[in-house]
Amino acid sequence: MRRSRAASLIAVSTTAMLLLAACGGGGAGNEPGSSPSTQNFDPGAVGRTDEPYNRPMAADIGDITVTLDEGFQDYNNNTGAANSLANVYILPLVQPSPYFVDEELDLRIDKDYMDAITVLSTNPQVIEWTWRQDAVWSDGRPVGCKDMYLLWLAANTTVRDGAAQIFDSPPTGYDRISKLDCTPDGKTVTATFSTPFADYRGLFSTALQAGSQLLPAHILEQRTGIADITKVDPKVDTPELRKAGQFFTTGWNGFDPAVALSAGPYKIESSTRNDTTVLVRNDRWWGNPGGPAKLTVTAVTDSQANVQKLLNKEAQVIAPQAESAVTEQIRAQGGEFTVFARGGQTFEHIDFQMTKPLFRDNPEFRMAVATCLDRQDIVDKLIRSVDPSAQPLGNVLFQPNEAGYVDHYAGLGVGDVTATKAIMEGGGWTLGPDGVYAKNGVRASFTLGHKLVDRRNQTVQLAAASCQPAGIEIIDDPAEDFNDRRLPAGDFDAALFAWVGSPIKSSTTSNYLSREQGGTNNYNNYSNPQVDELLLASDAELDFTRRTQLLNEADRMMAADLHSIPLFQLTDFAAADRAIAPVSYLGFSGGPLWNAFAWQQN
Amino acid sequence: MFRFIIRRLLIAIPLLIAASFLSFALTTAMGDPLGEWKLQRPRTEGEIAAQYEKIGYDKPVVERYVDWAGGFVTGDWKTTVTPGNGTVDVRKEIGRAFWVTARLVIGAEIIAVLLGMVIGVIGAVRQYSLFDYLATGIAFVMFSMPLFCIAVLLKFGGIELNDWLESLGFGRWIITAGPPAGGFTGGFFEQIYAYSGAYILPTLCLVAIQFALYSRFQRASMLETLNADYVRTARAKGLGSARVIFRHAYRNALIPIVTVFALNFGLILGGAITTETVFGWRGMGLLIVDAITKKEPWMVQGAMMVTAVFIVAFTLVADVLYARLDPRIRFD
Repeated sequence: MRRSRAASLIAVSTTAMLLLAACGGGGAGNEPGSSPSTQNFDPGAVGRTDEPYNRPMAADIGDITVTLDEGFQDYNNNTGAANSLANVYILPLVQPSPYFVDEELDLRIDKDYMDAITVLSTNPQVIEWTWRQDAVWSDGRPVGCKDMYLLWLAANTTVRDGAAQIFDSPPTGYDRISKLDCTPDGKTVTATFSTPFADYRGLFSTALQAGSQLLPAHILEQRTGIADITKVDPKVDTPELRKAGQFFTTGWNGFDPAVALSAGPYKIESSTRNDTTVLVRNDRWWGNPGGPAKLTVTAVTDSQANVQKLLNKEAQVIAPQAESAVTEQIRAQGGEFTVFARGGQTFEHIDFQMTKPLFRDNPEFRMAVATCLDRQDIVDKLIRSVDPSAQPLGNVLFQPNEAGYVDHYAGLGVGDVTATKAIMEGGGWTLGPDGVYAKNGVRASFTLGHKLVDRRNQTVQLAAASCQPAGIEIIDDPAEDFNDRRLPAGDFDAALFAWVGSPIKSSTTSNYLSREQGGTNNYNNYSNPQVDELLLASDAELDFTRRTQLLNEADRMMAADLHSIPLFQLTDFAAADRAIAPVSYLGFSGGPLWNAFAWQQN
Repeated sequence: MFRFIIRRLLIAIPLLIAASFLSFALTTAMGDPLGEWKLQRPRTEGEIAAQYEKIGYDKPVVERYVDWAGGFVTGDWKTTVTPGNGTVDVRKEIGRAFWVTARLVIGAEIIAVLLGMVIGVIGAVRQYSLFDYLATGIAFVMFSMPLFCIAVLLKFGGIELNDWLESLGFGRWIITAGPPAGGFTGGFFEQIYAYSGAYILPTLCLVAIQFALYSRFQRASMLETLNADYVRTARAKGLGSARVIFRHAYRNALIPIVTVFALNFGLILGGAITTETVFGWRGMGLLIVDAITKKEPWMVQGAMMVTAVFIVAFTLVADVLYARLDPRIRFD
């Protein structure tokens, strides 16, 4: 799927609950409103607040058609069964959220919904959300306490049906809230955390989808007969809890206008699953109305078909898979269309299996491989045709478009044959008659496993070609089920696959924690106690600057260990009729539709 | 005939059971439906076990097959199971997709077979004429061009036509993918306009490929029949050319094309994958591709069984039509 992009973004959204402070685009402007482009990166300080966001005034631009590679499926994207990027495209336009993620991945308080979000205390951590009085669902009922409580209830319950949690929702983050209090009007909600939680801004926010989208809890009450959802205890197995779980996991599947209410600038008028969804302005929306009067969002899986719809003026905005043929075709049309292509949060990398003696016992061999790879050549040949500004990635915890990014891999992966040979020979390796180094009977040869994806086939070919002259043999090891079976089992010498770099750092750090510390996705069995310590400390560090330092120190140590070599970011891509602007792509929240309410005639 | 149909229907049962075994084996070999899900974020063993239990993959393969087969024959085709794919009712979804495909291919197949028969007959009757050479040439060009290539050419032709229509002050008529944004709404003539604009390109695309197939079969079959002794006898008896061709030769020449049409029609109802993909119609073809991509076992299994049922059914139809067309064929 732009499968990899889609899967990756789903992964982002699935893991998404946590620190949005790290999304910041630049310095640490501590004064609220001090700069429109900076965040307050000091969430640990009592009374601090983040930059605000208000939707702009927009003139009516009529009906707009958008094509995407996947179609909307389910209104409740919080459950494991439903969570999908296809839903992430649509839902931020209809569901409320305390925070809004802007183009620079800054998280801002959404002032169309919130009066304030305030840190009341740091020990224990207490956060207060105050909703605007005029924030209402499309049936006129208020947005607020009950909606937040429902998400907390869903994620926090320990009651199971067999082995399955009855709300089918991930607990991450919500399980740290020990108490959720509401004022009688339901507009002010106070959460007390049992342990410091750096990623509290991701909670209840559409910016980070899974388990974090607010739903109209009063609908659940009406449909289940529960008098007050906030009186249902998540830890006690009661009929009310089970009824709530039943409705939560089934009642909001698909699209039913009677239960799928809107509290955003748009509402869903109709939806055919995985095909076409029509959004119109929400007549109960209290903020500035969106530019498009109607948004028809259609799923077209074939990239070329997307382009042809754009060229034929059937669609004004498209977001197909980022393929060079697609971008070249659109760019060849001259100035009639605009193209947005930028490195996204998903990145490709090569991991060495650290249980294999070849990698475990020979750090110089890992360094040699990292030296013979030509990352710039790989980027030039595979990515730059789509994103001319693409560069090799230099950090596995931060992306270049994030605040805090530091390149720890500069100088590595430059295809330097001479340096590679020097490293190998310095480590006691001898060049054999077959042109491959060997030491103590072990050849400098390994298989590079990956899923059968054309881009990865080409990556391996390029890697093998650049290392072969340096006496290192890389053998292609493709398998359709590589990601399904062999990768989780650690059944590889080296693996080429993608991770999702996320501003929600506690989700990405778990990829690098040792197994003993909870690194269940640590497929290459990397272990460094110092890195563990830094990563765990960062998850509880509320100060953004300090947290960034901790993470970068961990990344620097991992770069020194060279258990993983980052290659490049996959490209986020959208194209549009030049008459419509500004169009871009934000995978976290809406894809090309993230700012659809602001689209104007150019 | 009735006994024959009953017999064939009874034979179809073990055939379909065998097909279901085979498709179930292939579906199982497709991979772990939870593979990608397990990669999305760290998950506990309990969480993974619960998910396998939920989708029925905690059971042995044979038990899973029996469970599925029992449900299938009683109308419970199960739901989608892969996380992120919701819990969609497989039977309803296949029904929806089948309707999309049927609307797309039925008209195209009928046009293609009629066109193919006419061109094939004329080509055979006027063998080695300019028309025959032209028809043969076009058929081979259509055969040798990949369908997506024809589709792209047609689309660009459609875009040019739209630009021209727009320059004349008319609206844009041709739709390159899927239904129009506003749907098929409005008055009778507006709907005709919308339907024709949406269906013309995929229909032309399917017709281009299929007519080539049918015309070649029809021509070859007609030539063989025209050279048969009984046709020569009919001519020797002084029967008119039209009577010889249509009354004596054409009926027998229809037999091979009926077989091809029936099998082809059954197959294409199971999904015109390329056409649906390039023209953005979410029919059976795209449904199967999507289900395989997502490793959605029950959807793949259901769609494959529907295709198998259609092929078996249309094979039966072809056999019955044999008997109608050729009185020498006896089924008892």
